[in-house]
Amino acid sequence: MNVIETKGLCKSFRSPLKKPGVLGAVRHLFRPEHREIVAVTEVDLAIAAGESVAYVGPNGAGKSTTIKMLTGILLPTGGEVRVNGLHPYHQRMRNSKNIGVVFGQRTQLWWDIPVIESFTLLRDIYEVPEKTYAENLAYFTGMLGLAELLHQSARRLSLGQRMRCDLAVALMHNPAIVFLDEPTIGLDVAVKERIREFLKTVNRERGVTIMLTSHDLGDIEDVCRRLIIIDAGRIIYDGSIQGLLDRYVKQRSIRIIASARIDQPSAARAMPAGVEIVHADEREMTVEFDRFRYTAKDVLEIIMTAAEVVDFQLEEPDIERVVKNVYEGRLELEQGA
Amino acid sequence: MRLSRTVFLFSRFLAQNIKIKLEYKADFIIMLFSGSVLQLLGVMFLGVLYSRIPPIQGWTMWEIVLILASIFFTEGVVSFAFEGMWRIVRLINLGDMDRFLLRPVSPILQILTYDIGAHGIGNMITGVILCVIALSRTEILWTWDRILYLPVLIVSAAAIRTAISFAANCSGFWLTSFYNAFPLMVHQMADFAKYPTTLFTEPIQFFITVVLPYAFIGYIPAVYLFHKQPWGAAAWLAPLVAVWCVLIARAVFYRGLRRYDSPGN
Ligand SMILES: Nc1ncnc2c1ncn2[C@@H]1O[C@H](COP(=O)(O)OP(=O)(O)OP(=O)(O)O)[C@@H](O)[C@H]1O
Ligand SMILES: [Mg+2]
Repeated sequence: MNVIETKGLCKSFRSPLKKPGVLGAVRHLFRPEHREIVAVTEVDLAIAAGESVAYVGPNGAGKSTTIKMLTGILLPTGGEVRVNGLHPYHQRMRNSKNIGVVFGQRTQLWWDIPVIESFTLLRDIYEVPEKTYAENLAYFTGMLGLAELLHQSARRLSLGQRMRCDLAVALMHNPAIVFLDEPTIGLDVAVKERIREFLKTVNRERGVTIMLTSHDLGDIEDVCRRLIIIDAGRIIYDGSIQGLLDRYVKQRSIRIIASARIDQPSAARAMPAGVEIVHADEREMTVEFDRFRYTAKDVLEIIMTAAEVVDFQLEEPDIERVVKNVYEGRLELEQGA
Repeated sequence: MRLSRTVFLFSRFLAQNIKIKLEYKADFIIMLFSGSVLQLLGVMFLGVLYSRIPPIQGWTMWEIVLILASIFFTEGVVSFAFEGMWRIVRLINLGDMDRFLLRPVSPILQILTYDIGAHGIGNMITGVILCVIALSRTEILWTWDRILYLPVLIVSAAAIRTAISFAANCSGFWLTSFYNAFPLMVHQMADFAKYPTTLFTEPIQFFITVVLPYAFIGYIPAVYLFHKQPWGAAAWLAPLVAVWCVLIARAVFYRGLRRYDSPGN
């Protein structure tokens, strides 16, 4: 069963076009001009219960906008959307009981009161039964190490401490889905690790569906099995992480060490089309090649005509490379892969 | 939302806000007194005025003071309990509305209870004191329907004021500048309610009974309570007017909310 389903989901913003200065402001008052910004267009999603999905893309791709539509903050400008069978905007209050949300740059906590009081307020807001609340509180306190934080006000917490509390908040009412928009932004490695562990556990043990956006590839590889890539408002890949590698990573690379100085110009001349030196040093060189056209053996043989190879290392394509390629616009992925 | 749940959450939020305010004790006390002092100064000024120009259109000074008292009191209640509506513009511009939209509670309730106005307590106290004094100096023939009318009046007047100011603050969805003077202007127009409506020209009378029905929070109820003419029984329209205002404010809010574009992150 799909807990998240969208068809042709679109969102565009109207942004006022103001000329600079007072004159511009006055002109805008009488004859407002607007620019249409397409943030998300024709997005189809089908996410089943219990999945963990990474929603990835460069800055401004439309990730946050999508999440805001799925959580009922923004009204879509087109297309259909269902979350747990509900329309997130028109049935906002019912939908909100089934979802938990974490925005990396925002908090759900009240600034001026101790964290534990924010928790009890939210317990009342979500009508969490006392027993469930007590169990969850104990569980989250243990897993996220909240014990020393509960009696401090949110204002005094560090970013990482606050984020741990926010994760507990998002899951306190046993939602079926959690949406996390950059939950690890600005956090140190230890806290990231802890948050990933936590997310994996609630996904596995409680069957909570996870949809997260992140620019941290560690988060993605570690927590998620499925990857959806959005670029300029469109989905350009939707599938498993391994599938992405198998299908779209054309490049592999070989790093060699030579026994003598490499003559770079002649080495460069020796490389046929589809093989490229991407890094060169006195006695070191990294060569990238199209793995559909050449085998590693072919390439090694070519290199050996130009350098005295004493050692080599084959670098496997990794997700990091792929997504980086996507970010840099170097990889043209086909729609609907 | 169920009424009992709304009342429960309202009291939770209110209690939480009071607790936060009490942590900044000095602020709280200053606000409380500044509220009272300002209002009392206003009344003294009025007293001077009325001692020079006795009865306007058959209204004695103390009758006017009673109108004022009821206005102070409801103003106090509203700003104490629903001060949050004055933060809408900020909530919109900083994207903080997001949080309210993620919870299974009416965003309107969350906005209204986002803050409390400590000065409201001052207004309430002033209102009660003035009311007691004014009642001892005026003659009201207390029939049972007039006694019954008092709680109806207080609730309706508070609802009318809240609805009008709330709707005016919703202009923030359209006028997205941080310095939005429109709601304050609308709020100030409640000053018209402080004097007998019949003092004003007809367009203004129409304006404050129909467009922004502030007449229903002061003058019209007073006409009824003092057995004056015209429109005595019209005072019983106050609850209907209140419901009407609330429905309009609600509609304005949800219209505006469609425009909310959640800036940030
Ligand atoms: N409130 C808004 N008004 C106007 N344009 C907006 C608004 N919110 C987002 N946009 C635009 O929509 C596009 C998508 O933005 P969005 O925030 O969804 O990107 P994102 O993928 O979350 O990026 P990031 O990785 O930087 O968080 C951007 O071009 C952005 O400028
Ligand atoms: Mg974003």
